Amino acid sequence: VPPASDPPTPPTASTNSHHPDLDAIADLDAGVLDGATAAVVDAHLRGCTRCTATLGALASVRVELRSLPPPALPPAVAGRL
Amino acid sequence: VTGPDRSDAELLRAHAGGDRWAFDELVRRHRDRMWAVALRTLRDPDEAADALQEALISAYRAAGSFRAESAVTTWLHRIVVNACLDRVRRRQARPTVQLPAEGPGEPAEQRDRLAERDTAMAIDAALGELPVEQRSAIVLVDIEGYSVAETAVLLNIAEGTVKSRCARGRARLALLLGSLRNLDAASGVTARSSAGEEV
Repeated sequence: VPPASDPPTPPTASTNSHHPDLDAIADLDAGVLDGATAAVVDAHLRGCTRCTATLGALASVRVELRSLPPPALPPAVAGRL
Repeated sequence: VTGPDRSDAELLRAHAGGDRWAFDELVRRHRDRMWAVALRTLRDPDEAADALQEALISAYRAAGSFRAESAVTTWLHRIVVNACLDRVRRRQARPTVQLPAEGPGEPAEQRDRLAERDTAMAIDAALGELPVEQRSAIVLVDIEGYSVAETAVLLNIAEGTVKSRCARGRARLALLLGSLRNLDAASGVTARSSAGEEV
């Protein structure tokens, strides 16, 4: 089991300056954070538009990857196989 | 049984039993996707063609060792992925070999321009900046649509490692593609990057 990245700094109620880093949000998105860390990051995301937007950007990356057109097999390569 | 209605497993058995056309049929069925995986992993058409040919020769010879616990496509793709990663490792072991033009190591100042290109080209170029461990996981899961479990088998790594490599690769792609640009302006995202290998 891969270790998570450095645990994100828990958000405080009074300031929004302690955003989890991009890797932590990506790890949350991929389901690789341990339960306690995931709960902290998840709780932050609920109240933070900026981090929610980061999560959205990661989702767009997945959509863009999935919609890449498949590369055509060049006839010369097909002929070798 | 003859004709296009034979299953992959039937074709492989027929090949192992001496049917000289069965393997060709199997290759015809799956070559487009195997090509996509090889090309996207290696990012060089000549190398991808060599790797694919090498992989198919191995598969042709090893057909008798196929065990039905995995799908034939998984078995075939695993051989292709291994051939590609072997090539990457050999390339890394010989640092004097010239890397493909858009390969790893593209300078950072080009990143901004990536976002302005045609989307597919931009994504393709950004993929080239990922470490091969992240790229191969992303190619299989996010582009080719393999499940995390299948990808773990294909890459011979734990499922958690597949997820983790995908996560870090997506994070890096989001940065390279400028998907986070507006957020950056709002309040500097701590984009420590994601090139580091995880286990």
